[in-house]
Amino acid sequence: MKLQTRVIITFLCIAVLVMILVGIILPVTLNQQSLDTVTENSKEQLNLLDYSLISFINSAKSHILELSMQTAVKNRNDQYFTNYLNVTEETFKPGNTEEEKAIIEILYNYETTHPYVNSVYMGRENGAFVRSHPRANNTAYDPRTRPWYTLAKENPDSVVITEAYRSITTPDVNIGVVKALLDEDGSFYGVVGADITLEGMTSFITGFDPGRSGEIIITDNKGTILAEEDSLNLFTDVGNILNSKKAEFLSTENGVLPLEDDYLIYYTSNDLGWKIGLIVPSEEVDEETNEAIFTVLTYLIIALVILSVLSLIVLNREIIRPLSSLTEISRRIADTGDLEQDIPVAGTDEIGILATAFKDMVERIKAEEKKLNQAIELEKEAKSELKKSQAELETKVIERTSQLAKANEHLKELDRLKSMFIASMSHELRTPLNSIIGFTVILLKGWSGEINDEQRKQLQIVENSSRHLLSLINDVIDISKIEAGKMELSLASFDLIPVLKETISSFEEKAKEQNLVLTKDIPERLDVYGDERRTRQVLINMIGNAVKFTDEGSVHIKAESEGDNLLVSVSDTGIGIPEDKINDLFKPFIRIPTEGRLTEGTGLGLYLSQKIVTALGGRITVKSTLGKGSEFILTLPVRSEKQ
Amino acid sequence: MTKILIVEDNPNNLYLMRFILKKYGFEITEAITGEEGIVKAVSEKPDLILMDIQLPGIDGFETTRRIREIKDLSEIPIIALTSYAMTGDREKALSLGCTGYIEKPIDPDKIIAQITEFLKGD
Repeated sequence: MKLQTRVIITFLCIAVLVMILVGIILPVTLNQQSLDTVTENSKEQLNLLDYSLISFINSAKSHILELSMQTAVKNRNDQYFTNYLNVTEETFKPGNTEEEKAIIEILYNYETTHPYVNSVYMGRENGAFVRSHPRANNTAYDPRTRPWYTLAKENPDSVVITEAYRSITTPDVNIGVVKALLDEDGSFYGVVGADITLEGMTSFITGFDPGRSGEIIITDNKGTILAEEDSLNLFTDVGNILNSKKAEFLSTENGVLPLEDDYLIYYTSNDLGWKIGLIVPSEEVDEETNEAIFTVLTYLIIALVILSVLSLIVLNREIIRPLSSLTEISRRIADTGDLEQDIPVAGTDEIGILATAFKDMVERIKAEEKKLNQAIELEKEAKSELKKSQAELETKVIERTSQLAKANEHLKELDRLKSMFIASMSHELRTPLNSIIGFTVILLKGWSGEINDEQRKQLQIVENSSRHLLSLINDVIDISKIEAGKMELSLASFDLIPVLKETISSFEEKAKEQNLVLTKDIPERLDVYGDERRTRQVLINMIGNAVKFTDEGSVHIKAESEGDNLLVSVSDTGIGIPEDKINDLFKPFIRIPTEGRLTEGTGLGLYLSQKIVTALGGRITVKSTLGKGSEFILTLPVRSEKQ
Repeated sequence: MTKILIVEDNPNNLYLMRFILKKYGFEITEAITGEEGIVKAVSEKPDLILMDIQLPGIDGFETTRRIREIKDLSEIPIIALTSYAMTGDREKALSLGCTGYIEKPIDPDKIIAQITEFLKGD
């Protein structure tokens, strides 16, 4: 999401939150406020009404006072005036005196000049009663018992106002404005007054504009309704409207009373002692509240919009646009890898610092890139040099390899020549030896004629030397084969015992010659896995050595099986081997020097035997004590490894 | 009289063999090459052939093989004579039809005993 969008959303959220808060708090506070406003406003109007009522009542009062002072009215001849005491319709007789007619005219004039007055009258102490217009019914009537009369009599010095009272002959309810008539000496003799009907009062107040919708209500201090638009409520108790609130209404000077659907705002007139109230519908207060809320919210929205727009403009100019430009540059760098970008740097605020830092970073990257490029160049050079070296090396290797191959070929050729040489040598050497040995034996046997002892001795030497030479040749051939890894073995399981027996018996004669005891301890059968001929060769070597190096005593041959191996031990009581020479035993052409002994043999026997036995999977070990004898032990496997 | 064919190229060895065998009363016929040996084997009908392996021209192995292919000679005892330690010579000789194998240098007593042994089995 773009930063700008996010800022706008944030603003919107704040605005909505503010509106919700204002929407919750405002109605509560504003409702009270607007009620107060309405109350204040209404009280002003009620004051005006009070003032107007007072002037209306006062004007009526002053006219009654004037009336009471008129000479004609003050006439003391009570007997001239009509009397309703103890009369009926039938018995009634009007007075019709000149004095009474003059008074009725005055009273009538008064009535017609006061629009809200419906009746002007006078009563006397003798019970006479005169009125501005004739009574509806001429029934018995004693003015002296009427409330207006008694009130005036009790308050002789001023014009007083009665409580509302119902008239006798009409359904009208009136308030009387009355004044006592007094002599020069101050004695009371009658009352003159005027009635204002409650309907008249109502008409008066209806003509008054309260400045708002609402109904005016007037009650006296006891709660009797004196004026109200609905005439049915007139002269009823205000409790019918106020119910439980009546007590509070009557006991307080002024205030606001919440009714079911309205508010009653009231006020007590000081002069009249009446309660003047205005019934305002709650809707109007609510409407006022709503209007206030609407106004407040309207201004609030305008303020928020202006704030948001200003903030956005500032944000856009100071942050978003520079950031966007940095973002755009970053993206360009990321897309194209081109670091040559014009980065605008302005201001010292955070954005400015960011831009500066970004610019520095790009510069650093440029520098690093340059270094890197240099490094890459260097690496390239190194690589190309390495390649060159490698190529040279390869050429050299190829060259050397071919040289080596040539050398190898040469060596192979040499090896072949050597093999050929050995093969032909063995043949060429042995062919004459065959004749030499053969004929020597024949001569020794005397097949070609008798020979003397000297000749026999010499021929014996020829035979021995020839056989020695033959064994030397054979050993050399064997060793060359083994060293070339070309010794071929003819492997099979065979019984070692006949081979061993034959070998031993071939030495019996020689042992006898040396006065040696040749003993053996061998089982009936002893199977072994190996090359029979090679094994025989090894046994010949071992037993031959024992016989050769033992001057007196015995040579003992023992054979036994031990686990997966068989052991052939050849122990003698011979000259023994010095301890430090034992390791040399199995080396080629090493001959342990022995004093006073003519050593025969090739010096290759044990070396060859060990090689053969190793190739057969066995070994030869030796224990020896100098001067006491030696024991050679041949270990060979009973089974092939495959078995 | 028992007739033995000696195939041997070296005159000294031939002489040695001849001397020993004659001493024991055998009738001798000789050949100094393999080819000659085959011809003699067919014409002389010997009772036994002593065959040297290292011969000029076709060697003793090949000569033995060819003799065995000749109908009348398939059963004749042929004893190979070879120098010691020539790799696999013994096995090779036996597999190619030689009846026996004698290693050089020969022992006059041993060779008579061996020949007598092979003739007995005939």
